[in-house]
Amino acid sequence: MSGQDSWIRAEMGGTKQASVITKPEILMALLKKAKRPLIIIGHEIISDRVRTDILIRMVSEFQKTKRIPILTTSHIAGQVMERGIRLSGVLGSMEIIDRLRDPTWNGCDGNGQYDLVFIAGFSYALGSLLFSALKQNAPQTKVISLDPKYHPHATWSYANMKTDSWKAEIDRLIDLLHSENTHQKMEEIHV
Amino acid sequence: MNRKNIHIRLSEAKSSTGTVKDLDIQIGKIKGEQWDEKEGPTPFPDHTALRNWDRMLLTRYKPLYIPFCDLCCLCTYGKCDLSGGKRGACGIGMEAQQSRIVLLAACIGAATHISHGRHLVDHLIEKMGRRTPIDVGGSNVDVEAPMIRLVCGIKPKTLGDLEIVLDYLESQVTELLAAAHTGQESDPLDFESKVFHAGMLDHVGLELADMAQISAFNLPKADPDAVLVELGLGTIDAEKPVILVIGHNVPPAIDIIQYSREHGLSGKIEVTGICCTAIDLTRFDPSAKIVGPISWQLRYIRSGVPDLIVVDEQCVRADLLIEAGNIQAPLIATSSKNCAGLVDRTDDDPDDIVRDLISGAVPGVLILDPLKVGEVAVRAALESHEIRKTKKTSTIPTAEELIEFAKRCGGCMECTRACPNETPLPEAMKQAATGDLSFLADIYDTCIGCGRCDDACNKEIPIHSSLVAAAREKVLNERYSVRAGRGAIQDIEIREVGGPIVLGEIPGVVAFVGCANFPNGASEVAEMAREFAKRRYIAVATGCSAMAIGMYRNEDGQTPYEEFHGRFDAGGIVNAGSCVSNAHISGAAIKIASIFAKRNLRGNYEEIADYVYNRVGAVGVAWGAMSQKAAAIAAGFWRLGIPVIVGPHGAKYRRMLLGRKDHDENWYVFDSRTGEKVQVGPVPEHLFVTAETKEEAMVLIAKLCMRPNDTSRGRSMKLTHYIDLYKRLYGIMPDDLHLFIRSPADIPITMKEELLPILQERGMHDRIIPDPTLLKSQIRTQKGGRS
Repeated sequence: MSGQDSWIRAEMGGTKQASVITKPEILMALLKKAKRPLIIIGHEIISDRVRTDILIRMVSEFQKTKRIPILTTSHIAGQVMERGIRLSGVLGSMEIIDRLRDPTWNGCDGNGQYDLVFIAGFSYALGSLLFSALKQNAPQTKVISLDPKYHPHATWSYANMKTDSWKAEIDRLIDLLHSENTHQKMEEIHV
Repeated sequence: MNRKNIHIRLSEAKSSTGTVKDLDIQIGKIKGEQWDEKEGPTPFPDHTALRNWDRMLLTRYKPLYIPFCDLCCLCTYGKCDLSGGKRGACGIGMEAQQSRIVLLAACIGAATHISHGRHLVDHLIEKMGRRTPIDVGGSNVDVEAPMIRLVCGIKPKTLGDLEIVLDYLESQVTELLAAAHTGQESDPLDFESKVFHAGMLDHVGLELADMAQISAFNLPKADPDAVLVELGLGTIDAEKPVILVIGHNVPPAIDIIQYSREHGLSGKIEVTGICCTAIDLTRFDPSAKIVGPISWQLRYIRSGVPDLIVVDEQCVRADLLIEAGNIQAPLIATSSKNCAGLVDRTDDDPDDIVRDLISGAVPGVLILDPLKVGEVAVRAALESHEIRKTKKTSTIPTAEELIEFAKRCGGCMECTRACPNETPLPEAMKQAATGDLSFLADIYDTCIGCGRCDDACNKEIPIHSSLVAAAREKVLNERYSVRAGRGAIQDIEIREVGGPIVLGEIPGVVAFVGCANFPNGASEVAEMAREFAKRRYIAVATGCSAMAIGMYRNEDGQTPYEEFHGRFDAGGIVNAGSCVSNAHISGAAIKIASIFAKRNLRGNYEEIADYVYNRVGAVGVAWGAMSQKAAAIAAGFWRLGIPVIVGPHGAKYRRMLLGRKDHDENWYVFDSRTGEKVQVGPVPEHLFVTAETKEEAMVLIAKLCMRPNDTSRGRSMKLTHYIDLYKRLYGIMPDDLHLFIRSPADIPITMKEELLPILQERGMHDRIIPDPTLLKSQIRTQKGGRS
């Protein structure tokens, strides 16, 4: 399986292709630069059992360590909350894109538009369109695909990878989140 | 053609033989004097006549463009990269390019229906004469052509009258197509307005086509008790000669039935159909059988059951000649729009054609005369059956063969990567290799029958056929029923439900329409339709969605058409008919304005659309919309202000029309009684939106049925359904209730205790319920009439 071609073969991108997330440090660097990050999760976070535990753990750690707000689409809000995730809002996938393209939108909390968006848990076909819509309509926003399938329309995406390899990548990411958090806390204590 | 549109009017003419006074001769036009209703401002509107109305809607529902890719590939300047705000060599930007693609899709769709209408009308006039009366419901339907009355401002009485409408439609679609040429239209909203125009034309074409065939073939005439007809592969007796008809143009299939009747073969052959030809054929002869929606083409043909295949137009797979050849079944193409590369044998002797088909001298023939198709198809099917019953013709593997195929699978994932629904085929193959076919059989339920997996497999496993093989028992048990398409809605039905719909007390009309590109199988459509029928909405269906609803049985073994009545009334599931019958759904909304509210229809589009938009809580659901025709149908609903929800694949139409509920300033209407501007909340919130799951779609349906005109009683009923569905399916309370509750009277009584604290926290402000309109022209003068 080659890593950097669109997962559904015919869903080709265009002239600008997503950069591949080769190590979790890339995500940490993006987070460091971001002023307003956001996570959007679609219904496959629940319906695709292969991905559920991994994605739930990942977004939960993002929330705990970085306090990133999380939005869900479709009908999964209750099930996601049962898994201990606090939601900042529930909107349809298209409604979220519609807001993310609007420079005057103040976000779910009234504190302004987002500049870094993580997306996971959509079918590949719909996800591809969400990335394309954001690339076109919100060009200043960095959009990251967290699923293990290459999405050319994203700004950054994982390559196509097997579940085990992807899980290992996510574990490394979570370790980094924790260690950075610990480091930060130590610094705070030290100060 | 005898249509010059000549109008001669002489107030007085004297000659040697006498004097003629007030002579008025019209050739090719219907005399206005036949109808005393006052003509509105826009009879036969051109593509800019309703631009202001379109812009009002498009200001509230701003297009969100969703490009498939970054490029424009339409002219030789290109490919042009339009990403990141870049413009193409012709100067076009990405938004205009996307709206141009939407316009092209809508034009293709509208042209397809209109051309179908032209084909039908020409054929029927040739057969029965121009003066053949239009009759879609006898004395039960006085407003027989609401769409034509509204758009064209005429009241057609005969088939000949429809030619004038066709001339108009054809000229307008040509104008719209011309606007899509390089160097023409450049503004996204103007493209969108033209999309709406294409949609409106499409609905006129739909209405015209169904009126013509209902009148000429005596299809059910607005009959709420139309008979139940059989549906499913399991209903077919393969011991008899079997003819399969596919497509949307029913005359050749009707002539097959007629020839069988005339030759004493009724009951001795099976005439089976896929897609809308099947629906229309069962409207003509209830003993014909519907195999299933468009996605059943490969599985049914590969079963080897059809002895002969007849294709007409629209939604016919482009590879059917190959598939037919694989099962040694001759194929007859019958439409000039789908000649399939076959030799035109229209003028040949039927004996010669049958001989060539049966000997295998030709794989198929093109016959453009429906009558001849009837004869050749029946005779060839009889002979083909005799030959084919002596040999294996099915290309579906046996269970043993399937297991051997499955052992070849190396798990490369190419099939999954070709599957629109990413089905886990390699995993299922792995399991099948051990002899357990259950996983593959499960995938059969969600398979849309595209066959892309077959081409993707580098081990040459016939994957689609393998799914059918694994689900063999299931396939044989596909025995369902669907109520034959009833056609129009009766005037009396409109009289009875008009009030409750406009006041909100029937919570909504939900139209399940369109193709079978479902994200998760056909059963979701049945589930949604049953849910809303049980909640006393009016569920209406057409085409493949009407079939999908029928492919379900409840715990008592009833299909939804047995479980629910077929009246256009609360708690019904109404099968209007085929794709062209979608016009009866928009027609019903228009008739509410005409029959219940006594508004003039004649050439009065804007006022009626404004009425429908503000008062008629109707929503379209095209859960598996695939085609350009579906785009045109949706566009016809949009211009009337009727929202449409599509499934996740529907986002591939490249554009949504979305409202912003968080922008209070977007949701003002005029109170036509006073001229005052009134904030009414986001009702309906969107005009075109993709839902990710059926659960999301159901909540959206309930929400998008709300209208500014709802009475408090009506609004509280609609809110009850919205909140109940949201809580059940999302597991939480919706966070936007305060936007829909205008006063304490709107709060559902049984939920008052639960809702009041939430509303107080959100800061609920009392708002009046206006007599809503977007149009200044609808504000009444001090004298009482409209200004």
